[in-house]
Amino acid sequence: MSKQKLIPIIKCTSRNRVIHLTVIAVGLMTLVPFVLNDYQISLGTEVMIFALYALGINVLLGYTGYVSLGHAMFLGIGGYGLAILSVLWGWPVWAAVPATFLIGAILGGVIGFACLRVGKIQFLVLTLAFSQMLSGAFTKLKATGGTDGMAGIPRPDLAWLGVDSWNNDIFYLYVLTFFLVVTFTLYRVLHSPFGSVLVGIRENERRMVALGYRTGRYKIGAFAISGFVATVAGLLLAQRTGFATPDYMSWSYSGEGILMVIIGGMQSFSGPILGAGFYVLAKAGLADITDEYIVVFGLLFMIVVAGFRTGLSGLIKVILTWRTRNERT
Amino acid sequence: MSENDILKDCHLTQRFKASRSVHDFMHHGEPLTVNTKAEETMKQMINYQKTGITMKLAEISIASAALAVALALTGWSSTAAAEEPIKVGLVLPFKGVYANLAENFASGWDIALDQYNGEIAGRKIKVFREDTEANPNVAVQRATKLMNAENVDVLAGVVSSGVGVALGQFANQQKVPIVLGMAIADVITGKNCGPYVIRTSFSAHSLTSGFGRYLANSYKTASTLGPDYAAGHAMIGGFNAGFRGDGGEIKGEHWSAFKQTKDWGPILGKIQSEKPDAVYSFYAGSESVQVVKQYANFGLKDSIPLYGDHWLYDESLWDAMGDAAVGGRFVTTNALDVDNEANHLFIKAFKKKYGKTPDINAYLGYENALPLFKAIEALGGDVTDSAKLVKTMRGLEFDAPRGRYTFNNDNNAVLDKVYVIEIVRDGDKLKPKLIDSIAGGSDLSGCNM
Amino acid sequence: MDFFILNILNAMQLSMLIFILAIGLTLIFGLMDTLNLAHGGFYTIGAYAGSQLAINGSFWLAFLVSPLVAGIAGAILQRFALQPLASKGRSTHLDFALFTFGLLFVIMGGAEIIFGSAYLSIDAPAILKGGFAISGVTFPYYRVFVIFLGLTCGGVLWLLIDRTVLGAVVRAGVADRETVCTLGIDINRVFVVVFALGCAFAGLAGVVSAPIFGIYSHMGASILVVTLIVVVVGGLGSFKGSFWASIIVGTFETMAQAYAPDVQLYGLYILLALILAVKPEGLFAIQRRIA
Repeated sequence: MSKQKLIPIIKCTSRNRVIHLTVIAVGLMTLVPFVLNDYQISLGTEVMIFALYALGINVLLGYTGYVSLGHAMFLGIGGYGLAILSVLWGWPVWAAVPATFLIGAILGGVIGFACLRVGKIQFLVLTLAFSQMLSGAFTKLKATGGTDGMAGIPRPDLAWLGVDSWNNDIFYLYVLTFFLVVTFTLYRVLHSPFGSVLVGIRENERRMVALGYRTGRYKIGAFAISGFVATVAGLLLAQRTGFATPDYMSWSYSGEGILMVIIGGMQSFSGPILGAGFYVLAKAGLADITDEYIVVFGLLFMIVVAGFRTGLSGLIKVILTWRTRNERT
Repeated sequence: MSENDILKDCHLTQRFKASRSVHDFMHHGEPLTVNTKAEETMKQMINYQKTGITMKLAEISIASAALAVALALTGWSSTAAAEEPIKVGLVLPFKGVYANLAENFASGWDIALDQYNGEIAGRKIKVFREDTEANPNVAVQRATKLMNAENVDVLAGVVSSGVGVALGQFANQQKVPIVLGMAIADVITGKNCGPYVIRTSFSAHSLTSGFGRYLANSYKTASTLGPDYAAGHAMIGGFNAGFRGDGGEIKGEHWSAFKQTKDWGPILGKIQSEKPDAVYSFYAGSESVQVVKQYANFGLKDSIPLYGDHWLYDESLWDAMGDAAVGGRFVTTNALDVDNEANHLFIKAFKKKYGKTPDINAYLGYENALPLFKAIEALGGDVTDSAKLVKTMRGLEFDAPRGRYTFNNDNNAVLDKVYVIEIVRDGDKLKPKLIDSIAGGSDLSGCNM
Repeated sequence: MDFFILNILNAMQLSMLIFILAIGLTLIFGLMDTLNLAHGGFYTIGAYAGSQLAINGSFWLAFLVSPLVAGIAGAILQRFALQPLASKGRSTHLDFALFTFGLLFVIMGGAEIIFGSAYLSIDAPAILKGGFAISGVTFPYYRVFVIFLGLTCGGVLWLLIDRTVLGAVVRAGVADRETVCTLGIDINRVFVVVFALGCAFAGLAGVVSAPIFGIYSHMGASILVVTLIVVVVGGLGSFKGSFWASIIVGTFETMAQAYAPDVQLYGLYILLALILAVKPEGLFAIQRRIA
């Protein structure tokens, strides 16, 4: 029997590791504007925006088990909400932004209510239908510029902080703030009893009903949260480019969102973030190597679904726990 | 021998074998072969030591490799600067519904590059291609990449009007010049004009209104058919203005759900019931194929002629349209039969390089690059002042394949003449035949520059 | 009045085209509980295969062989990809739906790589050229052919399901898969055949629609939406539902275009939402055992 010397330093458990990594990651992210060039900063901004979008989708997909093929509509709501409120109706930005978020959450709840009775596959098609409906409505609406969309979407006036939000770096930090706040809040929500109920609904809804949970309410809640987070992403996206078009609501954006969640690993919290990062960076990088990114992503998608269910986050976990795993033998 | 003896014998032999094999393994790397319990544990311990170290190395190398790849992918590369080349960002929808337009456009661009031998005033021209996916958001992101990672001096290309509107505003904001090569929406050089935006193609109104006036001479009434979105309304609207302006009557305007309709049967029935003398339509891509084919299938082609532009009757689609396209007449800005030297030279160079005649998209690509290069030439290769580059371009006047080429004060290319083409059958191929040349229309107002 | 009849004919034609697509999807879902989102991909495969076979002007060759090509492709997918996945335990709805979703992209991207961005076409066969006059236009014989083809497919499928042993096995498998296995039938073989049949129908739809709609790399995505709506409205796994839902959807789209063009862009989706609000399982949903 070989004796193992116990080294009494910080235990290398997975949880501590995760916390360490999170702190490091946040630190790195904050350093970005000071270290990288403009293009990389804008990529970073895009990663965060799509990470939020993917997190929103994952609330339904990973936690509740419902595939939404129409989540792009919230991107559109985020963009058009701000556009209509501030450009058409003249609201100040600090009022229009929270109002848009509220609209997104309410719309999510409404759609959740409408989809309560349908099965998962009907849900898939119904959400697609809703997003097409909304997209069609905005295409036809002359007031919002039809397919040309609306321009002139404002960014917050940060003059009182002494900075200009049209500056790349400042905008990155602005998005980072939203990202951190929303992600942290979402983390707390999903790791609370509420989140456990959602997982229960995913695994076996009838059992949850039998246990006495009003699953309908939880589902509506999940929808509202999911819609809210995706709307935040949509609003930031519109502020980034300065305009909103019906393109944002096309189902290709919905498909891309699902792609991000799946590749990142839908059974984890951080999966969507990793997936979004991977997707944005790989797409940008692939563009230099090959034109055929559709095929590559499709194949990747299939491989992840078939072979590597836990996606990128699972991969990271495996690497992280390698040491501790071996030590246990 | 008793059982015990045999066992003892085996045991001894095994232990001997065991120590030999362990020795070989540790000192000569021979694989461990004999299996005993002691072996197992020893194997594990030795491997363990090795894996411990290898794991650490593996972790570090995976992490750094990933980081390196990520950084490399995001363009953290420095271009060695010898004689600084002139950098142009060519943004086109290389993937997606407009892919074939983009490819042909780029081929025209390449002819212009060849014409200048890839350099102006001693500076090489470096072209960076980026895919817009015909999506305004992606386009702005790619344009940002070109500006920051590659430090391009000027942007060019753009097929889709939506992208044109977005990049036009981007250009005016970021103060980088953009030379739009298609993007025919009127607003781009109308309401949204600016000192950094210049368009080398034309505006929808100028192309179709001239044609509208022309057809009003031959037909009293017409109906229109188009996709229900901004570009569709712009093109059809221009036609209506021209047709009505010269006394024609528009019997009905018909709109189809953009990118959703596949079956035009009901609409065609409606058009027929109005009994117009002619029909004018605008579509692009797969919808063009469907409309032209179904129009012929429903027997309308011979009784009510279908007129359009070079996107409804896109040359690259003629094969797919087949007989349905024969006899179709459309308005365009460039034609093979246009008799001027610039046109002949271009066709010759194109045929030599690609083994086929250029289509309208290749023409537009060529005429996108040409004014840009001429302006850079006029400035002696100095592109540091963006507004000056655009202004110089605006002041150009030269002979191009389309005829006499000038810009107006809205930074939009003027259509001096437009051409009417008929598709004729020549053996088993379809060929364009120039039947008329008419005056181009003017732009819509709205620019306050 | 004539105009109305013309539109009824148009509606029937569109409905039947959608029906041929929908039965494939319904067949696969009904028996195997798999939502084959790559259905659009097999539609594309059928169309492109047809375009290559019809190069020398032979529509009928394309018509007969392309469904086989699509069917074989489907069989390969089922036998070598989906089945191993199922036996490895990755057999939830979600997994298959997502897996086939990825496959759809691969097929569309692949078509673009192989055939480029050019538009292809198949010519209608000589005997079906031309049409008969109605309401001032010529209603093409080819569209009449499509109507008959759709009805024939429906009839053949009904016969197959109702009157053959294979059909009996399919019906039994839909009702209770495990019992079928205990009766000694190799359910996996049946799955391969059924999946192949479903994909063959998609391929057939691809070939048949090519002379009307043309062929291009992203054609699969554009009809997938309509097909999914039909299958959901009709009730997943129900053939009767697919038939009537196809008619409802086809007629709605056609009539909207003819009489209420402003509704075209989103009318169908409102219809879907309304129907699901009243009957969440679809119109003719089959009662499945829950426990």
